[in-house]
Amino acid sequence: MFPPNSDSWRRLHHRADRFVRPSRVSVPVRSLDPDWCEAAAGTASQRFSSVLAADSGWQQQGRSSSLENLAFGRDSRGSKEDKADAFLRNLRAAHLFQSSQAATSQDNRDKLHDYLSQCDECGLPRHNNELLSEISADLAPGAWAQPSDRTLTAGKAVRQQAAIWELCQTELNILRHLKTIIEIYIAVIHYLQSSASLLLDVDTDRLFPDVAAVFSSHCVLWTRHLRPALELAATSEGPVRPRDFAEGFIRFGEIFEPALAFCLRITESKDYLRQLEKNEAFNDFVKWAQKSSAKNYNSNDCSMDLQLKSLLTMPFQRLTKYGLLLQEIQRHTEDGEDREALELMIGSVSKFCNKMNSLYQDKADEEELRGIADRLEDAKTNEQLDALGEECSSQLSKFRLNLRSAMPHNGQPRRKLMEADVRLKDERGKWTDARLLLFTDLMLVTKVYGKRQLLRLLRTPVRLDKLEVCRLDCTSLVLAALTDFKSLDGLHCVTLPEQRLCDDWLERIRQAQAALQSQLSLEAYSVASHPKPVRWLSESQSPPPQPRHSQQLQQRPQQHHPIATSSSGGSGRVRATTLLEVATAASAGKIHAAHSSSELDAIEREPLPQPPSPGREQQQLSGKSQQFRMSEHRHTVLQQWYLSQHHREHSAPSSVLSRSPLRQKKQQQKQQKQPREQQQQRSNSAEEAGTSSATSAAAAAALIPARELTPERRRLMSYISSSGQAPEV
Amino acid sequence: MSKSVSKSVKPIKIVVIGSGGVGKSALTLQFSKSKFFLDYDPTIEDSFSKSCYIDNEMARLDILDTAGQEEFTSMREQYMRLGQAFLVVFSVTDRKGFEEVDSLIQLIYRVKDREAFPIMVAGNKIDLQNDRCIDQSLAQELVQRHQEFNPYCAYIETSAKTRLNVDLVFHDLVRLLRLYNAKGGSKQAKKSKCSLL
Repeated sequence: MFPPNSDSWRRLHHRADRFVRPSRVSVPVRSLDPDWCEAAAGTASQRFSSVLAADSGWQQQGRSSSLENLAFGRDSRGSKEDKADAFLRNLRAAHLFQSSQAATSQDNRDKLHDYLSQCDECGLPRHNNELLSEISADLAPGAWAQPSDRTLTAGKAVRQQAAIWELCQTELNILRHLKTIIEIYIAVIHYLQSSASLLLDVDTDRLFPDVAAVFSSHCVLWTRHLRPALELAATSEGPVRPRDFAEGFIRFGEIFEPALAFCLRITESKDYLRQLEKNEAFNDFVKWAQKSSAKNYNSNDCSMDLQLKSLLTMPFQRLTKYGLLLQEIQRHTEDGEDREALELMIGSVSKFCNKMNSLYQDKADEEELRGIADRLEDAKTNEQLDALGEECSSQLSKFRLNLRSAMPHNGQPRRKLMEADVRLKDERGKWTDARLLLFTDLMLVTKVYGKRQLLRLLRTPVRLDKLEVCRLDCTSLVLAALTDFKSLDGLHCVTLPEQRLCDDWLERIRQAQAALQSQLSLEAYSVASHPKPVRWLSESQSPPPQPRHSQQLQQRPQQHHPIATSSSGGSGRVRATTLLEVATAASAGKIHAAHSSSELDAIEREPLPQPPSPGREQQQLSGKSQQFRMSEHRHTVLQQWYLSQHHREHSAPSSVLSRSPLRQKKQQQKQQKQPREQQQQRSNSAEEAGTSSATSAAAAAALIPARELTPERRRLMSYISSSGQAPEV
Repeated sequence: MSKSVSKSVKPIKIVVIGSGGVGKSALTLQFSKSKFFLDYDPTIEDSFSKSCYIDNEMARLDILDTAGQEEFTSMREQYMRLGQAFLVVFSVTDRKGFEEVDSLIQLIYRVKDREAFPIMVAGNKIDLQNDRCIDQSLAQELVQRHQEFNPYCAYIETSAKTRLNVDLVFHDLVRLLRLYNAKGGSKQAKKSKCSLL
C-alpha cells in the first residue's frame, strides 16, 4: 500500500497503532448508537488492515486475532445493530486479553486522549435526546437571521423589533449552551464510561441534574411560541408582534416548572464540580469539551465564555433575564394590545422567578438549619444521663432538642435568623466565649469547640415569647428567660463586639418576638375561633400607650441602671423585683425592651413595632399579604381571560402551533386519516369560539369562591363578562 | 492578541453586581463590544470573555453580568461564588443604589469568607451631571472606610454612555486582582467564623 518507512506509512502506522492497542479498549457497559459504532468500526478496521498490510512483522498473535475479529465483525454483519453488537463484542474480547495489565493513571489519560481524538474524527457519539435532534437545524450558526422589514420607518418600531430579536437570539444561544451540555458533556462522558471504563467516577446526574428537563422547557418556548411568531412574521412580511408569542410567557410557570429542579440543585452540582476538578483525567476531558464546543456557536461569537462553571450557571441565570428582555420590548411597544399582553407576560415571568427565589431561600435555610442541628450537642443532658445510669439514659435519650422538627406552635419549619460570637458572663461572674443563635421561635446559648465546630448548649433553650431583652450599655444585653409563671428562669448577660451588632441583635430579637407573638395569636384565633384573641390582635395593631407601667418605672429614678447594679451582686432582691416588672410589662405585650429609664419614658410616645413582620410563611397569613394574594389572584384571572381571548381570535385551540408549515402538513395528513372525526371537532370548535368569551368569564368566576367576592373583584368580574373588553390592569 | 496566547492564559472571572438600573449591562457591553449601539442597546449579554493586554501581560476576562437578578436575593450568592474579582456598580443619580453598595461589599466578604478581596466600586452615569445626587467625596469616603482593612478596594467614576473610564475600570480591577494574588491573598487568614445575617 505504502512503501515502508515512507512518511505516510509511518503516520498511518502510528495512528492505527494508537487506536488498536488493546490495552486501550475495555468492556462496554451499555449499548452504543449503531450509526456511530459503524463509523468507528470502519475507521478501526481500515487502519487495522493497513497496519497488517504494511507491518508483516506483527508479533503478538493475541492482538492480531482480536483485531481480525474486529474486521470480521464489520464485514460479516448486515444490519447496523449487528454491527454495533459485533463491535462491542470485539472490544470486549480485546479488553479481556489485556485485562491483567494494570493501567496507571497516565495510561488512562493517554487512553482518554485517544478516545477523544477519535470523537473528533468520527463525530460525537449520539445522544438519545429526540428534541435535540428535532431542533438542531435551528441551532446551526446562521440558521436564523434577524428579519429585516423595510416597511418599518419609525424608530420605535425598529427598536421594538430589535428587542424582540434579542430575545429570540439569546434564546437560541441558551439552547446552544444546553445542546453543548447534552451533546458534548453528557453523551461523551456516557460513551467513555461505557466503552472505555474511563471517568467512571463522574456522575453526570449529579453534575448536570435534570438538564434534559431544562432543555425541553426551553424547546417548548422556542418551537411552540417564539419560532412560530418569527415564521408568521416572515410569511406575512410584517413585524413580529409580541402577542404572537405571548402565550409562551403567560404560561411561563407551567412551561418552566420542570426546570426548577435544576435551579435548586445548582449549588450541589457546583460543589461536585469542585470535587471533580481534582481529577486530572476529568480536567483533560473538560479542556477537550471546551475546545470542541466552540463549533456549536456562531463563529463571530468566539468570545463566548465556555467554562463548565459558567455553563452550569447559564440556565439558571437565563430565567431571570426574561423579565428584563420583555420589559425592554415593552418599552418600545406602542400598540395597546401588545402592551397589555407584555404586561401579563412580565407579571407571570416575575411570579415564577419570585417562586424560584423563595424556594431557593427555603432550601438554603433548611440546609443551614441542618448544619447547625448536626453540630449541636446537648451537654447538660449528657451529664445528667450519665449520672442516672444506663437504664435511665435509654429511657430519656429521646428527649433531645431537635431543631429540625417543626415549630410546635404552627408546624412550620424553623429558620435561623442570627448567629454571633459573644462574651457571656456566667453565674459566678466569669466571662466566657459563647455563640448566640437566634431562631424563629427560640434562642440558644452555645459554646463552640473542636475542629468540627461542635456547638454545646450552655443554657437551656429559651422560648422567644418567654424571653425578655434589656440593654445594659452600648454593647451589652441582658437576656432574661422567664417561666410560665413570669418568674425568672435564667439570666444571661452577653457582650457583643460592636455597638452596631448590639443594635442589630436587639432589633432582630424584637422583630422575631413580634412575628412569633402574632403567629401565636393567629394560631389561637384559628384553632379556637374564640372572640378573645381577635380583640388581642386588633389591640396589637393599634397599640394603646401603657402609662401605668412606664409611670411606675419612671418613679424610680435612683435605679438608673437597675440591672447593672444588680449584676454587681448584693442587691439580689432589687434585681428580682425590677426585672420581674420589666418582664411582666413586656410579656403582656406592652414593653419590648428597655435599657434606661430615659428609654422607658419614650415608650409612652413611641408606637410599638408592627406585629406582623418578617417570616415569609407568616406573611401569607397576615392582613398585608391578603392584599398581595388578591392581586395574584387578579393576575391569574387576567391570564385566563387573555388566553381565552387569544384562542377565540384564532378559533382552534392549537392555533399557535398550527402556524408552522410542518405542523400544518402533519395536521392535513391527520385530517385525511380521520376526516369524519376531524370535521366534527371543527364544527365543535366553531361553536366553542362563539361562546368562549362567556366561558372565560365562567372560568374566572369559578376561580373565585363566592364568599371571597370583594367589590374590587366584582368590578373585575363584570369587566370580564361584559363584551370581552380588557379590564384595566 | 493571538488566539494561542489567549487560550493559554487562565481566565479571570469578574462578577458585576449592583442594584437594578444602574447600568451594569451597559458597562459590560461597552467593554466587551467596544462599540456603540446606535439604534438599539442590547439589554443583556449572555456571557462572554475578552482578552486584552494589561501592563504588558495577557489577561482573559470572563465577565458575568448579574442584571435582572437584583431582587432575587437568595440566588445572589450563586454568582458571587463564581467571582474572583468584583465590580460593584452604582449610579451617581440614584441614592438607593448607592446605599446598597456597602451591604453588597459585606456580602462579598461573607460569601468569599475573606476580609479582603479585589473589589472595584464604579460610580456610573456621570454624564448626567444635572441629576447627580451622590457626590464623589461621598463615594470616596465609603471606599476609604473599606480600604482600612481591604487594600484591594478602589473607586472610579464611569460613564457607559460616553465610554469614560470603561476600559480603565476593568483593567484596574485586574490590576487589583494581580496585586491580591501576588500578596498571597488566597492564603490570607480566613475571616473569623462570626457571621451575621
